[in-house]
Amino acid sequence: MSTDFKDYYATLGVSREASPDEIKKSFRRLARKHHPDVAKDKASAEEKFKEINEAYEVLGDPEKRRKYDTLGAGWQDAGGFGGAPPPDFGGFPGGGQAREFNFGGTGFSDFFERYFGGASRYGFPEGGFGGGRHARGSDIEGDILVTLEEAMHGGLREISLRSTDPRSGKVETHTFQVRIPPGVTDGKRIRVPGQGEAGRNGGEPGDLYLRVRHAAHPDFTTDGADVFYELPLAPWEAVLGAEVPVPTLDGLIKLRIPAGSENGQQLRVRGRGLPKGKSGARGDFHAVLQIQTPGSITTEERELWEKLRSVSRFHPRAQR
Amino acid sequence: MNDPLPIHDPGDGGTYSLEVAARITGLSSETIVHYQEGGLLGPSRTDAPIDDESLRTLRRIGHLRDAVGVNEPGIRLILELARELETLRDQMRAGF
Repeated sequence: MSTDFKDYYATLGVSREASPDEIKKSFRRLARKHHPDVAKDKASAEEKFKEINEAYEVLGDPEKRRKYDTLGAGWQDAGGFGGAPPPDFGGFPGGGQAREFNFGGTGFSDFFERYFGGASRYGFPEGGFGGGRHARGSDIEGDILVTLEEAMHGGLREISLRSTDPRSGKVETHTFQVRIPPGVTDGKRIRVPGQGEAGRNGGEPGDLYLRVRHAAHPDFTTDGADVFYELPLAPWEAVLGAEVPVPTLDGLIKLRIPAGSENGQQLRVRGRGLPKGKSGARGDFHAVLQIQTPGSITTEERELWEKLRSVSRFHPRAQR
Repeated sequence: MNDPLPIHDPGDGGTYSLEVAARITGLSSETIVHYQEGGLLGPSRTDAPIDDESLRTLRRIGHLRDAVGVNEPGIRLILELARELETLRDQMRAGF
């Protein structure tokens, strides 16, 4: 299974010089368009959504983007993924002929797994054992991309783990399903017993640890079971108060904005976050108020703002 | 469901008795308690039940000790550095 080079810039439709803000905006636009809950053709949308997320995982992170840019430039000369990775691209120091593992179905491409997963995904290296002694196989680690909808309702994911023996070159692929429990939080590890490296000389196999990564959502971010949403407001909505529709993981709700709300203020809606285990309890939903100003204004609007300037007793710098 | 693929259910926040943890990790119960009380499983885990995260750390400790030949102060240092690295990577991932 060779992995073609993926042009993450093309996936997100941005130039190689794009600013972090441009990348974020483009991701949000595309993720909203191809979100499986919104698109008509769910199967192809899900595939596209994962591609967009994968590209954002790399380009949205300055360090990963730097590595990707460095490696991407000499890609054609690198000879594919058969060779050894560059010295600073993971692999735990200490040597040993490490068996290579590649994942399928986790939502990250082989490329991502191989070079950005970091040292820990290979567990600790083989080696150090004397021959003939039975030994348990190493644990294997990888990341798994979980959408917030999966984190909300749980689900089954098909994972394939392909391992290559460094001595014989023999390739084995093992496919199985892993249940994603509802309420699984970002950073949590799912332990899959016995799905790590095979044991040696009759030893037991190691375990597979899948570290959950919440797929970046166009609207929401998470912290544990709490869900956060940046809610754009007009200045008068913040000053006068308003009732505005707000999307949540359960659909639209009406949120009352109190008069005199401030920029960055958080309004909490209890129990509208992700589930907390099997207890039935849920985290909270937080709307983070983002007061925005109009980009361009009409003559009539200008007159009204000017009138406000002359009559307003509000002097934001007076109390300093 | 007719799907022939085996399904692995990770359970939900399960914890393990010392005996089960010993069997899974290949370490003795006394050794596990020693590492736990010594804070090697993490500063907040000295008297917490053993969960999947603790099992993972115990497996790493066992591997460092037996396969790589690192002593306890060395293991402590490696685990602290690994945790710090993970935290920094998470912060980097979230900080854009």
